[in-house]
Amino acid sequence: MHIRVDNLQKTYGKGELLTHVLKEVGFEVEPGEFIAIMGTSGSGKTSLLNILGGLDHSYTGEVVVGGSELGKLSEKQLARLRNEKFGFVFQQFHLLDHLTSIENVSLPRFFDARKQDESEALARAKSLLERVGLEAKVDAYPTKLSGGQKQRVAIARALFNSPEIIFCDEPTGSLDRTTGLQILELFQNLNTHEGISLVMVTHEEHIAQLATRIIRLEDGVLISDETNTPQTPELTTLEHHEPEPAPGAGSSAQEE
Amino acid sequence: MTPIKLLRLAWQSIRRSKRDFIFSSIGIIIGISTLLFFTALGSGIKETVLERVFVVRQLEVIKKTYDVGAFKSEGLFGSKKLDDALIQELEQLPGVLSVYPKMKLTFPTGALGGKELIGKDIRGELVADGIPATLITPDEVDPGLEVVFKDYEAISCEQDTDCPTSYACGAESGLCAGIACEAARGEEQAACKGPAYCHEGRKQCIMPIPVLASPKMLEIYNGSIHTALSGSQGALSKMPRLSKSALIGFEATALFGRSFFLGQSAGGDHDTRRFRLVGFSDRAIDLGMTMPIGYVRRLNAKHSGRAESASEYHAIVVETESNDATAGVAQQIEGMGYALSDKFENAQRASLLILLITVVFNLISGIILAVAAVNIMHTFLMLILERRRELGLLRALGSTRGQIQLLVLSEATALGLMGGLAGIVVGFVATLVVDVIFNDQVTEFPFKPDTLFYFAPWMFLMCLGAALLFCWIGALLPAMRASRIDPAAALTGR
Repeated sequence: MHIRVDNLQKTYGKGELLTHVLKEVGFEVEPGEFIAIMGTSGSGKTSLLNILGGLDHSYTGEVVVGGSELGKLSEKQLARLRNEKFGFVFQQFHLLDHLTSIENVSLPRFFDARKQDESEALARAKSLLERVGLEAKVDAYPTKLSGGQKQRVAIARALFNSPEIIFCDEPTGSLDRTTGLQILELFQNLNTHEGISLVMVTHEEHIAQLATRIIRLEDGVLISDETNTPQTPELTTLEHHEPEPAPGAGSSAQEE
Repeated sequence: MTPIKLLRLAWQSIRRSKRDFIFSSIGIIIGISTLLFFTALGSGIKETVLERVFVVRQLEVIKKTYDVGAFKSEGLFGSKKLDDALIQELEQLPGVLSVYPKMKLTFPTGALGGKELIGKDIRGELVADGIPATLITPDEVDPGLEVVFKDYEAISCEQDTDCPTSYACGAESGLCAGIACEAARGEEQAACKGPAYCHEGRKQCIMPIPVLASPKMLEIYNGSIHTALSGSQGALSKMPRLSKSALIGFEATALFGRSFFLGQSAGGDHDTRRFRLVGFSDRAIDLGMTMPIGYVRRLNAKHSGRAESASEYHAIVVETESNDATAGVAQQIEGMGYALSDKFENAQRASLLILLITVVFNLISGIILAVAAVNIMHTFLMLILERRRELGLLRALGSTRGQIQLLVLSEATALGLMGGLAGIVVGFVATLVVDVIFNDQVTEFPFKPDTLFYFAPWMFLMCLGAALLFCWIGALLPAMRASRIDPAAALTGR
């Protein structure tokens, strides 16, 4: 999905309390790209992600996603775009505790204008859970799942309506290193094998190294936009955390 | 989002917050149960008072009189006549369902009977009036009885088979007339076939005069007179409580033109006739007997000694289409220069009193429901604060603001339906309990009803509607607040 951001600015507060979160940000994303948005805390990366994902439309400038200028879409059109074309994965998972895994995954169907039988929807949710390796947790409630399992359910939910792009906000931020690597591997597979565009916010360099392009923000200003040779999760881990990589190190760490 | 999807989503939320929803619904249950209880009680009392004691839909038109000292006067030139022309005029008034005349016996009449009931005949005065026989419905007089409420002396015929048993078709008059008979004293019944008996003076078979009694009379007897008589001396102390079915078929003898206490009629002549109680009707005279008006007309002509007593009515009853139409019709009648009997004023007063009581009690129910709505608002606002992230997530997954509003209102609808239905059940059970206590603990009194409550389908619909309405009112502000949640802020914990 093609994205064009032009002269994007966002502020919070008024008068003396006015804070510039994003300042004249501009870039383009080609379909199938894996973009990492890097920056320290407070650099404006999450604000940028929310704007790109159509969750926040109080900004100035132009954001065109898949040919639609988000600022000109009605509330209903924006909601439909989020439902049909976008997927979201958050650091805090945001699963509903009163729903089972399969119910959480199939949640987007409630807002899908296209007709779909409940049985079809549940079958799709089940197959997505199998795809993320949670076939045994279909009827489990989130409280019975580990952090990694919760994030897999969230990824399955993001995939439910076959999105063209997934927006991820620190998706491994609440996970331990091994589990985080498995989740990142899953994202990389979705990007390389299924051509789903990914926009991932992170403040960790080794995670950004998985992307095909890295955009860096500092105090709301885009300071660099570079293409990157994506590395595998194992390699990035070893490079950044194991000074001398052991030959043949695998990625078979089991989740809790 | 389809309604089914919406309901499923709402159900998922309710399932999660069961305790909060149950707590919120308590106010609705109490409010709806009291609303049903007091509405049914008000209608029950209204049913008893306005349909049985003061029949508000029946206006009795009488001649206008003026108080002159201790007397009432019709004025110097007399008042307007109550005749057939007035009946036709009244029938044309808007809101009028039917009009019928009432004609009283205008001469002294005695009565003798009661042996069948208490083993001894009692003498008394007979107060009677007449109404058109066509007014009486099969509910009031069983058409299967051998004597029904009709004027047996005015049956048109072409042949004998058109006439009742022991009657033959008069070739000249074209009316049925009793066949000739001869019977010794005590053999009158056996001399004729069917319910007809051999009239000693006329020497012909005749049917007893069919009469109706008012249910009020029975109520007053069972509720008060019977209690008073139980302490009296002699046969009267043994008088049983009476039921309608036990009394139907009761016969006694009327002495038209001769009273035991008031002397003889102006006409001088007197006539002895049997009369038979054939049913009970609200149209019957409160204390006395009511017969088909033809009998009264002929008897008045024969015994009263005044020609106009056979053509002038003593009252004309106007039945209105509904209780609501009564006041308007009453105003028009008074505008025409006629008066209405005291019954109307009493009925109006009773109606107003009942209305006031019902309004006061329903106001209490309304206050309870309003408090419940505030409670619902509080609970929903709390829930929405707790569910801020969830609602933000739903927005991220594609819900619109309107769908979030609908979701909250659907949850309120579910709460209203469940609370409303539970309230109806609780209210209904409460009426049953109160009825049992009332029937068990309260002694008999005139017009004591079997139940204090009257239920109509609209009451249940009203209760359900009120439950939904107050839940929606309570959930409206929270729903609007929920729809305004900024998904980005909610999801990032800002």
